[in-house]
Parts: sequence; structure tokens; C-alpha cells
Amino acid sequence: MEFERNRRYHTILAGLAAALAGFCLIALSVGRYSMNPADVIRVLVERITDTTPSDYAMHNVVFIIRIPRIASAILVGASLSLSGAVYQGVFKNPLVSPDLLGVSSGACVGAAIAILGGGGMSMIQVSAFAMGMIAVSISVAITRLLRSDSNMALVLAGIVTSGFMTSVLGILKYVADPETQLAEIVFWQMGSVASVNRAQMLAVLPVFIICGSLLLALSWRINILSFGEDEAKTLGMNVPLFRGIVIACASFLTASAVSISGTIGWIGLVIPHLGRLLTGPNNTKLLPVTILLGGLFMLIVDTLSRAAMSVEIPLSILTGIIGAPFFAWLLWRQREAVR
Amino acid sequence: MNISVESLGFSYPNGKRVFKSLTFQITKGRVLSILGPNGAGKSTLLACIARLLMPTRGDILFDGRSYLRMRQREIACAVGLVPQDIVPSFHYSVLDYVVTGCAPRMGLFQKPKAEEYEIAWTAIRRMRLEHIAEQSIMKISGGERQQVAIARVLAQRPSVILLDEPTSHLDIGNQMKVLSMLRELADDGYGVVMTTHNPDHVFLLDDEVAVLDRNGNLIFGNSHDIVNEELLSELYGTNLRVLDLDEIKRRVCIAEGLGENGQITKESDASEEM
Repeated sequence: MEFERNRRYHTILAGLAAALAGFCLIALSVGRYSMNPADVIRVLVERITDTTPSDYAMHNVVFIIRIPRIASAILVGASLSLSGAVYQGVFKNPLVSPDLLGVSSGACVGAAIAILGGGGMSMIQVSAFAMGMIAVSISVAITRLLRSDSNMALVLAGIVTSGFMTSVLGILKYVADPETQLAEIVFWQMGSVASVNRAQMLAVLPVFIICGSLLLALSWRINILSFGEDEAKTLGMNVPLFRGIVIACASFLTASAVSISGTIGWIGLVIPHLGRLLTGPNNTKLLPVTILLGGLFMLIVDTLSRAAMSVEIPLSILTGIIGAPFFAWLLWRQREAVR
Repeated sequence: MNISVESLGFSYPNGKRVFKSLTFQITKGRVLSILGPNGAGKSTLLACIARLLMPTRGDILFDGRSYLRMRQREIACAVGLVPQDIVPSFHYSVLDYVVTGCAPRMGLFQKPKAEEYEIAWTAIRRMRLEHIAEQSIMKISGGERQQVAIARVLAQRPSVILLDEPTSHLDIGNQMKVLSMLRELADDGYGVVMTTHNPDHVFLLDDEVAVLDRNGNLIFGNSHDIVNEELLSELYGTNLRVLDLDEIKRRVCIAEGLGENGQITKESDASEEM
């Protein structure tokens, strides 16, 4: 039985990896400068074999514009989905999303401060990341002030922090220049990876690799935590330390993703549910599948956003339009559990 | 491993004292029933032994070693706790749940392999739960969940098993199944400690008992020496009879009956009213 379950899991992983690779090729081909997939493969082979490009225009489109964007979309989708699955496990609640502790609202404030200060893209990225992590730290500090180490206290502290950050963002929007700065803040909030360059993508890559690897390595322990704090303690776990490491990793991932893409809703909530439908709740299988699913979903959404219409549609709008009915369908599929 | 509870006291941070100074021993091969009414602090006592709660006074010695100086993981290798109920949030399979019992003996980054799954299967077979091993723990009955929790503790391989009211959600058939399983575990060399508010279970097990009253006082000894009508009536605040039934060759505890308007009355209360 266990052998069959493992075989099914490996088939799902291989299928998703193949789908992701296939869709990368499609995403490299479509867009305003449309290319034949065979040409894209030729350009890639030329780069790998270090031969002189036969078509410099194609070469530039693939390596300067599309690859950073595609890699960013995959990174953002994978990060938000992974941290969503981890938050849901740690907080024993399948309805939790990665911005539970205020990281997204904090990042919005950070981005707005940078925009009001006249900062460029890099400044916005750094400021959003920093404020996202500060917001999580405030949530943790409030929990400490309450002298509690329970999940409930953390969730309530997250609500307080998010509410506060949303109000601060309101003030910043109110004082922003309505012609330029306000529009920039609003568009940033809607989410996009259109303007992410190679350097920005590479800046968050180490965070993704380190935090992602750590969470994958601890995935089985997250199972134990999802049975409750007392159960984890009776199995010998140092719950505050372990939960702190896991929440820190998930928050770093979310802050990194939001810092390059702006806020993108639904994905961190919906994708882990879809993953559970494929593999069950065991995090040793769920987390790798969630990473691939999140990356694939975001890539599809981003490709649609730039290829479906002549004007780019912000990612948050598309993830909401696709994610909300999709979540309703998932709830219908799991209606016995919902009842 | 033998465990000595030495002058153990516990008070909540708000100052409310649950018990002041409890002393007793947990011996391997014996079943110790902690008997007491609701609110006496039985579950709190178990939580202190498993160090889910830190005692505010006294110590617990594991083979003479203070547990205050032990790591949580060392305690988990020595003591396993079966909670009153498992409250799962996700559809884990019974096997996935039971295998978590191996955690205290595994490295932080280690994941269960064939060896750990074999230990989990052995525990599942021991509890005769093979037929539900692949089912979701959210979809099995409360009685089955209780047995699954015991299977997980078996996979934990501790010396002492603590059970917090293991029969509270079970029908009488399943209650007898669990009690006989506890007897078997003690015969296999485990030290077994269970909380109960049913004196009949103490008579059925006929082993050690620690009687905990609402004032946090404890009497420890063999059940046939210390558990009698007077003690039980005082403990539960109602008239209880302890009868020696020749037909089944054991003592039983029954309530005398209901008073007027369904109120339970004590003889002493009734005489005071007269």
C-alpha cells in the first residue's frame, strides 16, 4: 500500500515538473514578440553551447525580458503557495493564508513609503521586504507582551498588526500625489512581475532556496505540529523554537515574493488545498507538490495577463477571478469535510 | 524505568492552586489509576508528569534523575501521553498519525522510512486496527480514535504510558476492551497510569490507586486497601455503596439512588435537614 502511494506521488511530481517545463516553453514563445517554440529551443541551445546567436532580437527577448519574468512568476507562485501550506499546517487551520501575521500589509506600507520617498524599483523591493518582516516581528512582539505562546494569541496579534498597517497605508495613500504616487501605490498593490529584472529576481533567489530547503527538510515535523502544541510537546519537540523557525522561513518567503511582485491574493490559500487533493495532507509530499503547483499556476496566470489582451491585466485581479471560483469548486469537492 | 513523584505542587499563574504536595511512585508492570471527581486536577497532574505543564513545587525523578534537568525529548522517550481526544484539522491517515510516535527517537530533519513504518504497523496490529490503517483519522469513530492514540504511544516505545480518561468517550464494550489492553500493557512491563472518575474501573483493574480530592490531597496505595464506601462517598459527595459480588468475585461501586426531584442526596445532608 505504501509502495503504491509513493508511486502515485512520484508520478504526480514528475507530471507537474513536466507540465511546468512545457509551460515555460509556451511562456517563452508567446507575447507581443511571438516566437516559434522551435526557435526558442534553438536560442536556448545556442546559449548553453555558447555559440554565436543567430538572431540577436530573439536572444534579447528570451534572456533579458522573458526568462527573468518567468522565473519571477514561478518563484512568487511557489513561495506564496509553500508559505500558505506551512502556515495552514502550523496554525492547524486550512483557511489561513500567508499574510496571517501582517506580512503583506506591512510590505504594502514599505512599498508606499519607498514610492513617496521617490525610490526606484530596488528601493521599493528592499523597503517592502523590510516592512513585511517588521510587521511579522510586531505580531510576535505583541504575543510576547500577552505572555502567551499559543497559536490563538499569534493570530489575534496578526489581526491587530494587519489592521494597523492597513490604516498606515491609508494615511500614506491620502498624502500621496494623486496623479503619480497614488496610482503607483495602487498598481503596486495589484501585483505584477512585468518589470522584475534579473538582478531583482536573483536578490530573492537565495531566500527562496534557503527557506524553501529548510521547510522541506522540516516538513514531517510540521505534520506533528499540525496535531496541536501539546501533542508536539509530548513527542519531544521544542514547540516555541520549532514554530518560530518555521514561521520565520514562511514569512521570509512571503516577504520576498511580495517585495518583487506586490500583493497577490488567493494563491497561498487555494494552491495548498489543490495539493492536498492530489497527495493528502502529509507535508512531506504536500510541500514539494505545492511548490510545483504554485509555480505552474502563477506562470499560467502571468502568461495570461500579458498574452490574453493587448493591455496587461494585474495579477491580483486574475488570481482572484480564477482563484475564487476554483476555491468554490474545491469546497464542493470536499463538501463532506466542510459539512 | 520507575518514576517517583516527590512533593509535587502546581498552581496556575493567577495563583489558583490545584495541588500542593503530591508524593507517589509509578512502577513498571503496574496499573496506577488516578481516581477523583471532576475538577480535582487529574489531567493537570498527568500534564505535569509529561512536563506539558511545569510544576510550581517539587520534582519528578526518572530512575532517580530529576526531570527538571532533562530535555523534552528525553522525557518523550520515557513517558507517552494519550490525550482525552485527538482533534485533527486535516485528513491524515491513521498510519501517518501513528508513525509520528517515532518522532522522539528520530533526528530533527529525519523523515520516517521503512523501519519507522514497520514500528507503526506493529503498534497498529497490536491494537487490531489494521482495517482502518489507511482511513482518515477525521472519519473514524471516537472509540477508534482513542485506540489509534494508544497505538501511537506504543510506536513511541516509552517505559510509562499516561492515559487521560481513556474510557470517557467509549461505550461499555470498548471501555472493557481498553481496560483489558491496559492490563496487558502492564503485564508486558509498561508502567501504566490512567485518570478516571469511575471507581468501578479501579475495582476492575484491582491494582494501585492514587485518590485525588478537590482540595488537592492524595492517598496512594493498593485499591483493595484504601478504596471503600466511606472514601468514595466523601470524594464524590453522594451516597455510594461498595458491594462484594460473589458471582463475579470482585467489588463493584453503585450509587444508592436518586433523591427527591432527581436530586442526589447524602445521608448526612438528609439528617442535617431533619
